Amino acid sequence: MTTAHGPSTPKIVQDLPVIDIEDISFWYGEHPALRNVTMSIERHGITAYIGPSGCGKTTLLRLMNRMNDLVPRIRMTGSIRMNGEDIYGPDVDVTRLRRRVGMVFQQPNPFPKSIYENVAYGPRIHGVKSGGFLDEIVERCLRRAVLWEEVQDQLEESALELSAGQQQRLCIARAVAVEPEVLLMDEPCSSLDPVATSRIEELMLDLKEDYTIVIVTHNMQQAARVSDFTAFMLHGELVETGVTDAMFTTPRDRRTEDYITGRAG
Amino acid sequence: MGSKWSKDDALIWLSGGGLVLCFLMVAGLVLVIAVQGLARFWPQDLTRYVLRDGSIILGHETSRAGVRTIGSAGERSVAYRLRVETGNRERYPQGYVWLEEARIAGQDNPREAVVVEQVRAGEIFGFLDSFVDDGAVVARGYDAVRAHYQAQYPELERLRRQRALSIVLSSADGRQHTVSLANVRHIYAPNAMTAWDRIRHYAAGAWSFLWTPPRDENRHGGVFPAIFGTAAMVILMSVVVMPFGILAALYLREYGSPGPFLNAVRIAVNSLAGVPSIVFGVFGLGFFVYFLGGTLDRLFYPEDLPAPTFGQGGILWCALTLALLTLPVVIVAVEEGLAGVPLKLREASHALGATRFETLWRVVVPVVLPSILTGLILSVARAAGTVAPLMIIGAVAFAPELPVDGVWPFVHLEREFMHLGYHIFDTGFRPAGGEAALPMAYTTTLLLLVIVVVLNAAAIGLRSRLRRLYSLSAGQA
Amino acid sequence: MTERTRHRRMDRRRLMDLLVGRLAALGGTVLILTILSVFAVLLWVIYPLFLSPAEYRWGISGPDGSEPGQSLLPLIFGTLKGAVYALLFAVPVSVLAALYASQFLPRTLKETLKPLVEIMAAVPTVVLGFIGGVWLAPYLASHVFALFLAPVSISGAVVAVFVLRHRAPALFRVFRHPGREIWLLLVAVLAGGWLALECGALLEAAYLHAGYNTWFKESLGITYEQRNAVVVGMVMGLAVTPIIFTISEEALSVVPRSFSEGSLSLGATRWQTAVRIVLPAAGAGILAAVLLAFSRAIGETMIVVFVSGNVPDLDWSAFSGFMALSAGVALELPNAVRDGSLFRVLFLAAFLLLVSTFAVNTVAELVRRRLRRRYA
Repeated sequence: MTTAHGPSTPKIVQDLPVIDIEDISFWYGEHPALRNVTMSIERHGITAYIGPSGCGKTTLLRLMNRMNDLVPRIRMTGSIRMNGEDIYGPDVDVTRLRRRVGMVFQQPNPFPKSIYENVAYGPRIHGVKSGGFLDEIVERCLRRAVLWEEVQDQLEESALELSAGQQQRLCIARAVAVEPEVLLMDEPCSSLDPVATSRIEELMLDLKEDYTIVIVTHNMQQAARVSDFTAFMLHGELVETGVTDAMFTTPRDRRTEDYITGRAG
Repeated sequence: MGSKWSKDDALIWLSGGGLVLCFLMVAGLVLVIAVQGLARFWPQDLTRYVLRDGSIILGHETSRAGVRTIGSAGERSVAYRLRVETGNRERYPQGYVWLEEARIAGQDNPREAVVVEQVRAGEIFGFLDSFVDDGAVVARGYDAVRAHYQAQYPELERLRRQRALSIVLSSADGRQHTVSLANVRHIYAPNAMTAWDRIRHYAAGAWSFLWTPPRDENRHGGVFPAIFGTAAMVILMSVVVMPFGILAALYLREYGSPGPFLNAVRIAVNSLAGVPSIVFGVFGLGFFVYFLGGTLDRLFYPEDLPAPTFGQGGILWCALTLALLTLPVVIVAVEEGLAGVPLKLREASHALGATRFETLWRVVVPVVLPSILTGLILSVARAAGTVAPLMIIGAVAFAPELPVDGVWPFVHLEREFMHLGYHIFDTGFRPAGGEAALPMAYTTTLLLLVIVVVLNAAAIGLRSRLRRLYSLSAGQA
Repeated sequence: MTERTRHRRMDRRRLMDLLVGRLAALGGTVLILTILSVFAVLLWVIYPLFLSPAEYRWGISGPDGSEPGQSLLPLIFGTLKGAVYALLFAVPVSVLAALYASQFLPRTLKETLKPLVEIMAAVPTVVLGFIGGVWLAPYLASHVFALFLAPVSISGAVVAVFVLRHRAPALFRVFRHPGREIWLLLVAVLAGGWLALECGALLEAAYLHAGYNTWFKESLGITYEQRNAVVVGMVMGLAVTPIIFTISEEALSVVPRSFSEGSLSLGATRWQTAVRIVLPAAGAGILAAVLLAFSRAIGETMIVVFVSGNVPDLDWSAFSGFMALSAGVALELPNAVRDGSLFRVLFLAAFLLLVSTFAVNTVAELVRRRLRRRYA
């Protein structure tokens, strides 16, 4: 990484997984949400989590950047390591972790600020002050999210004026602006129409050159179209995980097969 | 709908009557205040009443009342009488007389009748007789005196310091009365005024009401020190209440983790909101004035003791007491704003690696700013209208010194001060100036009412705009 | 940026976060301390009263004999009297109004009504007290018959206009539009009020020999004081009306629609549904509203100062004045010698106000919370 605010990850051999999830169990109050989940997320690929509502996909996703820290009365066992370092370790700075693991949410959630300020928000809080440099980042990220052409003349206008699909791409640009290693996407297309959805999917395929992407989706076709690896979850358990093509053609587990073929879930 | 109707519909209709009655009563009271308060500056015609016994009285009617009597034969009758404002308090100490209509032989509105507004001792109604310059009569008669007065007017300030200028007035029954020009504020002949003159007179009166101190035991003049005192106290209060209110709201909504302490804070806010204002006054007297003030005096002003400096009612203690009173107002408004900021915005910020404070400062606060402003406005309106605690700690009927002036250290936090609400209490409840001070109290009441209503309307408008904004952004997502 | 400067920057950010969190907690602490110190300071001043012999405890007379006897009993009585009369006036009017607003008023009109009520609630009580004491009290004192007639004539006029509208709908076509009937109601109420004034004047001419004071003495055997409980009831009633209205309206509005739809489907009329289904379902909320209004009336100062006449009597008569605890404190405390017995007794009065409003508010809050849980 060459920019001044780039992440300072130690160079790690490329073919090791980015995130190792080991024996994670998780409870909201007394209600168990995850049971003994173990898997790893491969670098520079798209990993998709599929499964019926309430199976724990989103919970697992939110554990990877510790967004669940904000929820009261939770309990967790097991460990999650990123590049070998336990992200729930005592010395971990949560804000730095979240910077390395970006997130895009189910509903587009731009700040009620201008388009420019939305993208500049992350770099600003991480210490980028110079205007020219900031302009550069904003343009690069908007281009990266294939939004630049549409909004270059209205950077100072409120982000709330954009269409839902544009807003979601803006949120991706905003996430990319802090140069994360991993990008978590929590059903990023669930509130979008088919055209906007396909643009986001193209964007994901494009982004995986630089980032590791983890996506939670309801939509099995979407998982089949974009992901390299797929994990199927049911009732808080990880049922099956593997290369997407193999999983969709020859699922090993009966429950996976039922879900994929539409017999259950 | 035909002609069919049931008892039930009539009852619904009747319950609507309850709603309308509430509003009509409030509207009626406001109307009375408005009419009485606004009428004050309008120059009223002077009427000369000639009574059957030959005496003559100059004044204007303020009301008419019937008195019931039973004659010797048991027959009932009603006699009406007029309440006539007379001015000339040297002769009519009450400033008005009752005239039985039966005693009045005739009346007219003489064009030459004038009102002399004095600096002290109220108004005098009469006729211009002569203009006296150092003992020598220089003009005589209405036109001549008027012309002379008007010619001298631009230089009056200078002239009356050099020479003893005075005007001789003759009252309606011919008695002479000399008024020194040093004591004259204004002379006008209401009966000769055109509509335009009256409007100008009205505007000047309203203007001086806002910008001059009261004169003549609150019967005349304005309420500038009360406006100033109220504003100074409210500003002082805001400086205290806003940071604490915002912090407490932040604790309740953002930083506090669920548990007994958060519950205790929540209960404290609710309890504080329910404490009667008079109890805050008593607490302020016991804690701020006697305890804190007494301690300050012992530590910093021992040379003045036993005369208290901070150990008596003053603007600072009033501001602090009202800050406690309005704290829940601010907290509730800011909390409402914080509750309106969608969780997804906070999550977005956290996901980008922002700390809680950074999220708050850069994402939440800009959205909540109008709510904070709403809280400020509402607390200011509340403080401007709250009187009970001030009766105990620090507001006074007449304070010649403003709490902020050109004397070191410029801001005098220990001073007693005048307050609009307290001024209403003082002039309305136990007027030192008698009933003649009531019109002024009406005008002050109107002023306070307008201030409070405008502030509240602004807050309501701001809040509803904010709510629309939220629902808009929520609807788009 | 090197690793070290990055860490330093991170520390500063985390420090700032911590600092603001601590400050916010401090704000919360200040709140708790404030409410505790209000209790503590009052108790600190009044506890010597409890060390003195029992007959001085409630301020029956000054323990050192140097100050005139100050009994709190008539003041406690006066406070209750004022609050009761205020509720007698406010509860029927505002609960009816809330029922109408929540069940029968078009939504758009309700939205314009809310800010009006809010502004009504914001009118300073010194303004209401002033106009009540200086204008309304003397005015009513010279229109007593009209005052007696008003409830009958106003409701009579409202019903009459209603009947007329149904008999001759053509006359009122302008008011057919939903929501416009409110203007018709306005006219009806005004007409009723005017009728009361006119009939009052006729009655005066017929029955009044020498003013109302004599009439009251001769006919009813009581004295009529200009500043009396009825005027307090009306003015303070107006002051607490927005509280009762707002909270009852909220309680009535959250009653699930399915309730009233069930009732209507059984053939009940709108009014039957409102009174038999919706009103009882919102009963707890209305009770809470009345309790909160009661506590406001107890603590209210400026209105009783102006309108109650401030005579410490024990007399339930509607036409006599009284003195309330709050007015006693406000009027006497500025003259009380510091730490004298009067001073302490007045602090005791304030403490009584504090404790009683606190208790009533707490009960009201509990009632409200229960209701909220039921329909949440």
